[in-house]
Amino acid sequence: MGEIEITLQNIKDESLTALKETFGDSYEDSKQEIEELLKESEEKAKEWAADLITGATRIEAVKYFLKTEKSLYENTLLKLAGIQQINASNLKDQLIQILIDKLGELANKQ
Amino acid sequence: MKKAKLTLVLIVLIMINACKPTYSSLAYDNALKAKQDVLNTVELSINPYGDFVGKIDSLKLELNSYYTYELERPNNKASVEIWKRLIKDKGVVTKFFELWKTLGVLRSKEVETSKKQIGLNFDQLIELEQAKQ
Repeated sequence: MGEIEITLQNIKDESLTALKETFGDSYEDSKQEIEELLKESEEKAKEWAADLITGATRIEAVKYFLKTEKSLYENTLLKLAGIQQINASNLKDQLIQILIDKLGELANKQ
Repeated sequence: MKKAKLTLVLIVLIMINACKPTYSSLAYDNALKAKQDVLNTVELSINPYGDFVGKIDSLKLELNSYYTYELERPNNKASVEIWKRLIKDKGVVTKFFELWKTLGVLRSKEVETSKKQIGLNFDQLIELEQAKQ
C-alpha cells in the first residue's frame, strides 16, 4: 500500500472515531428533551384550565400562555439545532485537524 | 510542486476551520441580564401598566441593543432566531407588554405563570450560548 493510501486509511479510521465521539448520544438526548417538554405541556394545560375556572387567570392570559408555550417549542428546537451545528463544527474541526496533520506529514516527506 | 499543492490545501483547510459558532461571554452576560431585567419588570405587572411606560420603553431599547449585538456575530443564526422569538413584534416579551396593557393590572397567578414561561424561553438562549463554550 502506498503512502497516500495509508494516509487516507488513517484519515478514514480517525474520522470514524471522531464521528462516533461527536454524535454518539446527541439524537437520543434531543428526543428526550422534546418528550419531557410534551409531558410538561400536558401538566401546564391542566393547571391553566383549573386556574381559568377558579378565576385566578383570565382567558386573555391563557391565550398568552399558549403563545409562550408554542414559542418554547420553537426555541427549544432552535437551541437543539444550534447545538447540532456546534457539534458538527467540532467534528469538522477534528476532521480538518486530522487532514492537516496527515497532509503536513506528507508534505514534509516530499 | 507537490509540496506547494499540499501547502495550499493546508492553508484552505485552516481558513475553512475558522468558520464556526463561537462563544461570547458578553452575549452570555447579555442573555442573563436580559432575562433578569424582563422578569423583574414582569413582577411589576400587579400594578397599572400606565405607571411603567417609561421603564418598559427603556427595557425595550436595552433588549434591542443586545439583539443588534447578536446580529453582528458570525455563524449565529440559531441565537438570532431565538432572540426574535423573545423580543420582536410577535415575541413573548412584546406580547407580555401587550397583555399587561390590555388587562391594565395582572393577577398574581397570571404574573407567576408569565414569569415561568418567559424564563423558560430565555433559558433556551442561555443554554445555547453555554453550549458554544
